[in-house]
Amino acid sequence: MSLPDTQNNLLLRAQRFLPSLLMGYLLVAVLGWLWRGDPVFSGARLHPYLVLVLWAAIRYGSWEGIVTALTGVALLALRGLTANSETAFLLMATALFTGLMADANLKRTRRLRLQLARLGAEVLELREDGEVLRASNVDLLTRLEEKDTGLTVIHQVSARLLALTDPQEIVSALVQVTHEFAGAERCSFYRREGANLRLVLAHGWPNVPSEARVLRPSSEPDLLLLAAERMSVQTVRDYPMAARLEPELAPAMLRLLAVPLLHPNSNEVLGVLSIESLPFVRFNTATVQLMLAIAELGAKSLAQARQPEILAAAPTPLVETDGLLSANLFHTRLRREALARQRGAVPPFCVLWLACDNLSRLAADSQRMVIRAVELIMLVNLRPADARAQLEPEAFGVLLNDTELATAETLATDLAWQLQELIPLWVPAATELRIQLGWAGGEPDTILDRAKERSKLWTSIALAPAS
Amino acid sequence: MDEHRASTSQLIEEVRQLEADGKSEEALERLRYWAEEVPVEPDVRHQLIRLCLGSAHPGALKVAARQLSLVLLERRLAGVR
Repeated sequence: MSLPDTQNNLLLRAQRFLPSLLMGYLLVAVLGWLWRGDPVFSGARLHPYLVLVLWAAIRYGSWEGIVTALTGVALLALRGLTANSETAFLLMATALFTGLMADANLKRTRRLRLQLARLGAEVLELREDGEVLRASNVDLLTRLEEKDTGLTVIHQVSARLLALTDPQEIVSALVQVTHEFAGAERCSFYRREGANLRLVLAHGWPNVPSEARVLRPSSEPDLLLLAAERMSVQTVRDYPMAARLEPELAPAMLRLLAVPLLHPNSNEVLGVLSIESLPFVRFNTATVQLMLAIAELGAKSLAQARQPEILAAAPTPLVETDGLLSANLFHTRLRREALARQRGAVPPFCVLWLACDNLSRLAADSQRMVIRAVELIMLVNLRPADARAQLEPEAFGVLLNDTELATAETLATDLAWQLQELIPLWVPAATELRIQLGWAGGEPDTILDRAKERSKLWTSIALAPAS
Repeated sequence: MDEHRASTSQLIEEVRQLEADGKSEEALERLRYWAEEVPVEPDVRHQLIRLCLGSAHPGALKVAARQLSLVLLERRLAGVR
């Protein structure tokens, strides 16, 4: 501000400073005239021009201070410079000293302002970088979690499939894991029969139309046959025209995804896993990757199966009920889970048993309603990962993964209350029924022992009459 | 309220008739519409559940499961166990 600048700047400075200077001196002159009759304050010990010089130097800078001092000296010279020589000297000295100090301060202030502006810009940049890093961190954590979840799922699928040797159990497990882990509402397994594919097991299908039992090569491309022919996964996204619409199965039921099971050594197509119905949000790359893993593990398991001809000979395709395992499969899983727990590979688990006493006393319709009611209560209270099985026509078992005994007891208590209160509301004829509940947890050996003698553990519940 | 109960009774009859005619898919669609689109009283939920339990359609259990979840939630909110 106080340093020599271009002509424009000088003009601007003059425009800003000179009116103030004029006003200042006018004021002093009026004051002097009124007070002493001398507008110049000639001979004054503490001259008011000093104030003007100080003000100009501090407010505007050294050059303005000097101009003010020179103006003052010129005015004093009108009264005689000799008499006012001390004042003149004081004015110039003050202008220089104060002006230079003010200049230095102004320079420092400007430098600090520039530094602050630079720091402010750096802070903004850092903040933006921080936001980007935070977003990347969240993205990375999400991917790690997905990867971790994916690895956990693969581990569980592997545990379910690789320990089986019975081909029918393997196929059942394949369809089960596709339903549980991929979230498929309808899925199926076809085995290769020459150039054809024959349905072995379907899950969630309302019925099995004859057209879907055997798929033969035809002029219309079929997603499953394409998957078998190309030995790679096919989805309806890649071949929308290749999706076969099966009107008999359900309205607008499409083949969404087909993945072949390839023999690990010979690469022969053993069969094809198909998904016909899947929640929209699950139809993504992650599900395709999971299905590829399931197919690979299933193929490995089938290749090692004993008596694979049993699978080839199965004449009638089976349709599983919603998520209920067979008794054999349930006990196989229980043994496998116990072994894995003994090795410390899985967290603690518990088992729950449920049986309906005196069910045969009811009419067939009421019996069916009661069984469905029990399935419903289990469906609502259990997690999808808990394995449910129908052990006998009137008895159910549940494998509660990753569950402590205390939690299993609480769950059993809740189930007992709901069975007691709700079944009579839905099936009024069932008031004479008794529901037997049992549970076991803790050491795997203890659980397996109790599984053999579960009848000794029953807690009996009488159903309350509907109010 | 009476009108609501009357239309509920009508629904129950309709669903029973559809089931008897072997049109379980249509019966389920009617049940699903009522279960998901129409606000119902708690006792009507139990009637819907009963209808679902009697249905031959495999998807009926899921419709019933949603209703039961709502029943349990309502009870929890009301302070009943």
